[in-house]
Amino acid sequence: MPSTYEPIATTTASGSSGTVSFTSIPQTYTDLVLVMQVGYTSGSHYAVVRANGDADANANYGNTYVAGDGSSALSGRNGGLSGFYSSFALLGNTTLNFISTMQIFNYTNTTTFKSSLTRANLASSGVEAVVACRRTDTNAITSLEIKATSSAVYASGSIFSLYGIKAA
Amino acid sequence: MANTFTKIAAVMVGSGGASSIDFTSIPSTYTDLQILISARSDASSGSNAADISIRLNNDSGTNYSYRGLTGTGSTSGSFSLSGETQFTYIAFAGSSNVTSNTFGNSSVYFPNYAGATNKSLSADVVTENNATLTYMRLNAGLWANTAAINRMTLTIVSANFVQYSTATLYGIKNS
Repeated sequence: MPSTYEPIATTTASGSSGTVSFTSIPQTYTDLVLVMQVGYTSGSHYAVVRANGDADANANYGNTYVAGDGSSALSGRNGGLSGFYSSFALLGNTTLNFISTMQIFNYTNTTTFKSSLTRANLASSGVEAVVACRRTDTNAITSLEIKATSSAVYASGSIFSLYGIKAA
Repeated sequence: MANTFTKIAAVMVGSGGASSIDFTSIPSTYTDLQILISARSDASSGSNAADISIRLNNDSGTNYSYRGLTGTGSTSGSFSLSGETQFTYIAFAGSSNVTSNTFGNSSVYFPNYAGATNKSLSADVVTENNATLTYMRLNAGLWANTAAINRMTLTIVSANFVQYSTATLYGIKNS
């Protein structure tokens, strides 16, 4: 049986940077899966996942989310964002208990905008699902940058793993 | 490059049903674990969904906490539990009230299950029913224990797994 779910790269944070990058992503898979177990050295933050070197000023991503905080459910929609998000209603904190799995579909095609489906979890705060779209252009995704918001720094031991899935 | 999504063990419940499904001696050689469950219970009272509980490493201490987001087809809500002795309501099986031969489906993901940190999980679970009322739930869980997960025990609250219920445990390596 052919191999269809393969590791591409993984990075473990040392506690000194708020940016993790995956470059030269092979174009040999159908979909990407990004698994994150993330904490921050201080405060509560998101991680923004940007494709192909998109800058902070890029505002061509949008998302819709549904979340629960333990007492109520909420949902919202946002436009003008600068990236896919590891979560949107749910913030990570200084523990390493925040986990997020992001699937980016059909990332090598050059005719459609790229979309993602993310599940985020922090048992002490809430649970969330996010769908998002990158409307910048139709280029294949060749790199991803995972940047903590507000110049935050990833806590030592935060793990970022990128996998590729082949449809055939 | 090596395939990284590997079956560790699989169980299909036989004709007599089963009160539990137990995965023991889980190796620590992977990065993440994922368990996929297709299950139906013999629960005959209550709602259309029967809750599947997961206990890790046979730990019955009050080390389990989780939050969930639930939809029924007409309403939504959120809940939280802490100080639990297992993840009592972490996955779904169909109850005997739902359409015949219909099973609930659950996917539970444990990243970094052999690391030195407390263990978080992400669970997406549904029941199906050929009627207006059914359930879906997203769960975030935390087992406040730094031990590597080496055992996973599945039970159904006050009920049993029926024949053809399945649970498959996969290991995922990030290198």
